Amino acid sequence: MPRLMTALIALGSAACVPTYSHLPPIQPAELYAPVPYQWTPVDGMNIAFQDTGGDGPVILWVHGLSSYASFWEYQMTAFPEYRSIAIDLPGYGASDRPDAPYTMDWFAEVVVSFMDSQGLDHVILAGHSMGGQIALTAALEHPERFDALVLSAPAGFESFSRGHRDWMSDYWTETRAMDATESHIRANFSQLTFAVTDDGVERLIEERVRMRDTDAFAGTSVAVARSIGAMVDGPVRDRLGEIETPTLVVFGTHDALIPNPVFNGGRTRSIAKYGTSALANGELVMVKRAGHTVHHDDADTFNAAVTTFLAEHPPQ
Amino acid sequence: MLILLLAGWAAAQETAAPPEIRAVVPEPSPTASPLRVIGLVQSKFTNTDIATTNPFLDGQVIGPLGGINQTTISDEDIATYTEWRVAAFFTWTPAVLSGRASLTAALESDFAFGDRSYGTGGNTGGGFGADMVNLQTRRLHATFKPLIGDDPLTVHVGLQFLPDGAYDPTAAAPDDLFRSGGRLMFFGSEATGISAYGQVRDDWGTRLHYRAGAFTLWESGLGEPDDVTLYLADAVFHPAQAMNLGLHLWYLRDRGLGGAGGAFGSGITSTLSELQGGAKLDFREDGETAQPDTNADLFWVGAEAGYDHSLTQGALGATGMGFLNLGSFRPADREATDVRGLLLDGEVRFRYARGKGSVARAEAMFTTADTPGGDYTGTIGGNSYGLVGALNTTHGSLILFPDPFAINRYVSVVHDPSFGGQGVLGLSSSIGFDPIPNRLTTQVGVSHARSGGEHIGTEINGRIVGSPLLFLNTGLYGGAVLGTDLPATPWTLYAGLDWVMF
Repeated sequence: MPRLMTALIALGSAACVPTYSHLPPIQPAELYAPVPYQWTPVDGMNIAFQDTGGDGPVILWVHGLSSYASFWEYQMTAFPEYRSIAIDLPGYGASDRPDAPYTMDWFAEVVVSFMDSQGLDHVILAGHSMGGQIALTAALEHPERFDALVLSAPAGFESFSRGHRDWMSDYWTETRAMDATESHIRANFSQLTFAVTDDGVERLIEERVRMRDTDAFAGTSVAVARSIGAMVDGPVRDRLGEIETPTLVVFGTHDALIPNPVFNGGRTRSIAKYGTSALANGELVMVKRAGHTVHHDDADTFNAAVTTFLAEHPPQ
Repeated sequence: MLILLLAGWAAAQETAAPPEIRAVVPEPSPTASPLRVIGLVQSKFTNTDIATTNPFLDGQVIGPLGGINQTTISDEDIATYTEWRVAAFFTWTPAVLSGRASLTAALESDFAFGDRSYGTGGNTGGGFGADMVNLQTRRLHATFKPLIGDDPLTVHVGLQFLPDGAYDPTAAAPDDLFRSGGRLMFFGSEATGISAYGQVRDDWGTRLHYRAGAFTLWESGLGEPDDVTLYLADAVFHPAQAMNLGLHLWYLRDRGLGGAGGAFGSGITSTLSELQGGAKLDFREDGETAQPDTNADLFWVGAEAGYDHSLTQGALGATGMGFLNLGSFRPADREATDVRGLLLDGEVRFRYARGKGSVARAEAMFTTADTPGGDYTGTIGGNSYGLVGALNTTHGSLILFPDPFAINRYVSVVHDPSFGGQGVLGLSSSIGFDPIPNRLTTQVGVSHARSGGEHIGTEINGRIVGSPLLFLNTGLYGGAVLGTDLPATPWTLYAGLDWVMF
């Protein structure tokens, strides 16, 4: 019944949906940031990040595909005993868009280099979707640098056939993300990426629409295309057992992207259980009615799960 | 120590002021292969008490049960057969024309296992030792994409699919065709002519889909003014997210005198119309054995409104449309008969759980009935002018309304929305559930039809369909229609497979 009510409200308000195409473009540095942006050079790139500061253990938040640090807006200040740092991966947000491979291994090394640049010997590494796959990759290569992993709807648990991988790589050309109209963007955000739309999601839609005609977004389009190819080409599924780092895995029951509805189908819970049980030290929390951006759809439940998990696995 | 040294150096480089963002420039998309092929395989292994008795029509049976297609329903005889449809769509886009022109051809073979060897005629073949001679041409058209500003325009010339809405059938999603315009209930088949499908876009997205088209449905005698031509103008506006508001105006000019259309004729006085469940008007006067030559000028004026007909924006989709039939039939040496018919249709769908099949839907369709004498007050569509001229796809029924999954046996109780001119109130509903989202779908449905206050039939149906591979579905389907005036309860049970190969 709540779903029907939501649908009826959506129908009634369809004509009232705001549009942003008529507004002037915004540049990366103008993106909303719950904590002011800073920039630091990493491996020759300008990397943007948000840092709450403080003396507590560090949680390093890594966003997913085609998103940026502000997707963690409901986490950045939710853990006062910790220092939260959210990074804009290269290719995204307010960071540089270099001509780079954008593979999971490459991203993982960027994350470690960023930690080096900030003097962070070890952190709790949190990742969403592709950021989760990056976190798993980083933990495989540098296990000593991570006290724990917090994964929100992580990619990397699924398998794809050679044909699926080729199809996705062919489909996601370097200009495809630039072709999305505002109506496509809204549909993508409201139906695939998020299950609960609020003012935060609305702002993210506006930013995405207003960035699409900038040179910076053309670079993001390259990053998206290469990242997708890299995600399906570099799965961590077969190496999950090697990760001994304590890992919290959180999925929404209404995740519309994992498992991939076109190529794999099935229930999110199934793939979540598979991936978590394959980890040497994994714990799974399923959040009812939350979608792919589970930490945004139901931030209270997600944050509570993180708090409990970190209490059980205190950083060194 | 090294990390701390690096950190110290890096800290000196940090800035709170935004640097200039450096961005890689995307590579242009690689040139697509000039040849695109899409394959389609459909198969049905059927058990049913519906049998065909006319060998002339055995290859392809179309129309209402118990109609002049000579189908029978019997408790004693169970027909068991396997049908196949294999089709291939080829589109050649020469690179030298930069994607501005292409040629499309589609070839199809429909047959039943063991049907016959060296048989001629449509939808036959597959017998022992058979060399298949059954190959049908479904598409043969050139496509041009002229540059008109930034808005796309696609022009098809030749044998093409003719839908009754504003969406280009070569690019539209199925629901754009099934749940917009006339929902294919008026026109949904191949036709030869020219059509232009365009879009008007702004930064928000597509604001308008439009179509203009002219088709020759029948060229009776070359050089003679005895053709059946159809002209269409359609526009669907998108004022807001997922919203459709459409207007449709079509004109059919029938100078075929009722005799065009091959063995069955065409038009409102033809056997063709009756064969497919459309209205057949009798303009004969006392003592006349043949219908008088009849011309017609027919108009359709339609309006539609819809919200998220593809269920891509949310959980709820709703569509509604109404089409008014106007015009006149002019039998020779007799008074003209004016046309005033109406078709209304409304559908609501609600996705209540994950998976493409976890949808509850309800649809109501109403057509006015003809009344004896005076004007023709029923509806009319492509079924009076082509074999098969129209489809009815969204009801979920297998027998009460025609099963869109049919291959060679496209039969049902209410075969045309006009219901032979008697008018009909058709209700259908179904609820599906995906035990495995996007991989396994179950569905049960009920549909009901009434005409003139009389019960025509009530169908109960169900299906379980799996999708083991991408765009490949296979499943079991079953349905029975209760309360008909047919000699027995028509039922069908079949295993089906459909596979679209990209």
